[in-house]
Amino acid sequence: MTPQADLLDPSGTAADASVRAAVEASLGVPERFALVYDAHYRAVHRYVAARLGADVAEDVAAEVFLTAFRKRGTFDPARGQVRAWLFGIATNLVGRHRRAERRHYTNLRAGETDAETGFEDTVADQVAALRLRPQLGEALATLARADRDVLLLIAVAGLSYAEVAQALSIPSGTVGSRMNRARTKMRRLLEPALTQHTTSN
Amino acid sequence: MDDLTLIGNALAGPEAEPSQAAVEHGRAALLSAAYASVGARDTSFEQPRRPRRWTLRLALTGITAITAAAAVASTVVQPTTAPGPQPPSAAENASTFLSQVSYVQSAQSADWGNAPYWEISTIRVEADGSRVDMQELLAHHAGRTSHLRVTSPLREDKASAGPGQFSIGIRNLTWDQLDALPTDTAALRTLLEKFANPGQDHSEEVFTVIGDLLDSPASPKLRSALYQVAADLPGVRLVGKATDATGRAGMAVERADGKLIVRYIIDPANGQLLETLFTAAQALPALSPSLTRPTAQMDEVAQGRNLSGGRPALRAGAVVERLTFLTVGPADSATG
Repeated sequence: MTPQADLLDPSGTAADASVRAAVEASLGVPERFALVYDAHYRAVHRYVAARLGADVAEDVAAEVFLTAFRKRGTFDPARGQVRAWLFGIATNLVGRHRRAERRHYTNLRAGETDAETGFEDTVADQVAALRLRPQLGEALATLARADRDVLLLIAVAGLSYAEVAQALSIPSGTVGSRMNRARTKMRRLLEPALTQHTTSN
Repeated sequence: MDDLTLIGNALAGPEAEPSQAAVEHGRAALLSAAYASVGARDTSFEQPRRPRRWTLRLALTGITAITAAAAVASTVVQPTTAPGPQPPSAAENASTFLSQVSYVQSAQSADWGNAPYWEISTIRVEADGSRVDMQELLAHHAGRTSHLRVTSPLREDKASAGPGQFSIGIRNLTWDQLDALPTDTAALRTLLEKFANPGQDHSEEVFTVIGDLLDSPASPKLRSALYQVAADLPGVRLVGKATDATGRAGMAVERADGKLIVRYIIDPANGQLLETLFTAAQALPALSPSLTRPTAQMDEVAQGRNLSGGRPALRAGAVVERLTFLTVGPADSATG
């Protein structure tokens, strides 16, 4: 699933109700938490892989759900959605792997990836995205971590500003200001590549 | 394409997708933690189960007659699987999975047709956390004695002369009557509906009746038909890989009616029912221990009562009853 598809995914709204119910039910029947996993694992894995690289994503994504399972008693449905809660946990865990994250961005900058990209058969937009990687790796490495969290929760995980606010336990105004700062900086750093993409389109 | 989408695509390309193995590993790790957490609160083991087989209500007043429950010399013969069909591996949904199990069953043979006894040993955990270990030895023919034994928390042996009766929905059937059940799927489905509690969700009741039959001496052919009937029932959901209370791995399917969720954990390799788990789909009221409840409402959820007949109020999602099948199979004798 692409990030765009995530944005269209209704899991943030109606479908989240059944996942919320599963979190609650798992307090009595722990294995019910598997429904939470089934609903969100792939998206969480993608987010973690985008930040740390595919080689460590499996372990960290699995840890996200184990952590969420252990903390399920503290999840408050009144405060928001399961998806945002999970991505908050994922972002915290990513934060504990700063070395891996730095290495991942360095690899991007050097044009190295963890696995077969499969881009050969895909569309021009993805080719453009692939071309953007070296500059992107460099640019991301220069962002403050707090700004990077907000940017990637929105650009990669497809969270809304409100969900990011919930995920990071910060005011939505702060989400906006961090996003503006991150986006402005990224645009400046990526301008040459973005211009090339626009031209080639 | 805007800059955010471009960033998203650049960072989360196809290589960011998890492999199927990663998905399964993560899920297994989670379920392992989930089951471990059940074990951790094992002291509050939850116990209940709906009345079935002999409607046993043990006189749990004081220390009841404790029989020395001699060890039972039983020989369990497992069905043998002929080479050919492989166990289900990656089923897409409950129907596919159950059809696969049905197919595996169709290739199995069993030689328990002349066995003198059928043994069903279970651990039953009721809604209040109480646990009862039971052994049922059901005689095949007249001239032998059937036994219903409780082996923990007390020891008690209830014997009855003659063929044992298997509680199938609202009916009690002898082994011979089980052998006479149709193995044609449509005919079986029609018959199972007659065994079901009237006035309730038909598919749900048939699903429950199928569970009753899966720990009986139903022949592989009948079991194959049962799984096919289950595969055709609406509303059955494939939960996925699951482990029972004793750590045995299987696949779980479940079906919910308005009040109860019935889940079966099935060993896909041989179609053996490993565990039945009832959970509350909605809050359920407490049941008084003093009542035998002969006038219980038809639609009342009766599962989850402890040996004295009581059940605490349960909230949605709570375990109403967990019934783990330790031994199911023919036995040579029932000394005791």
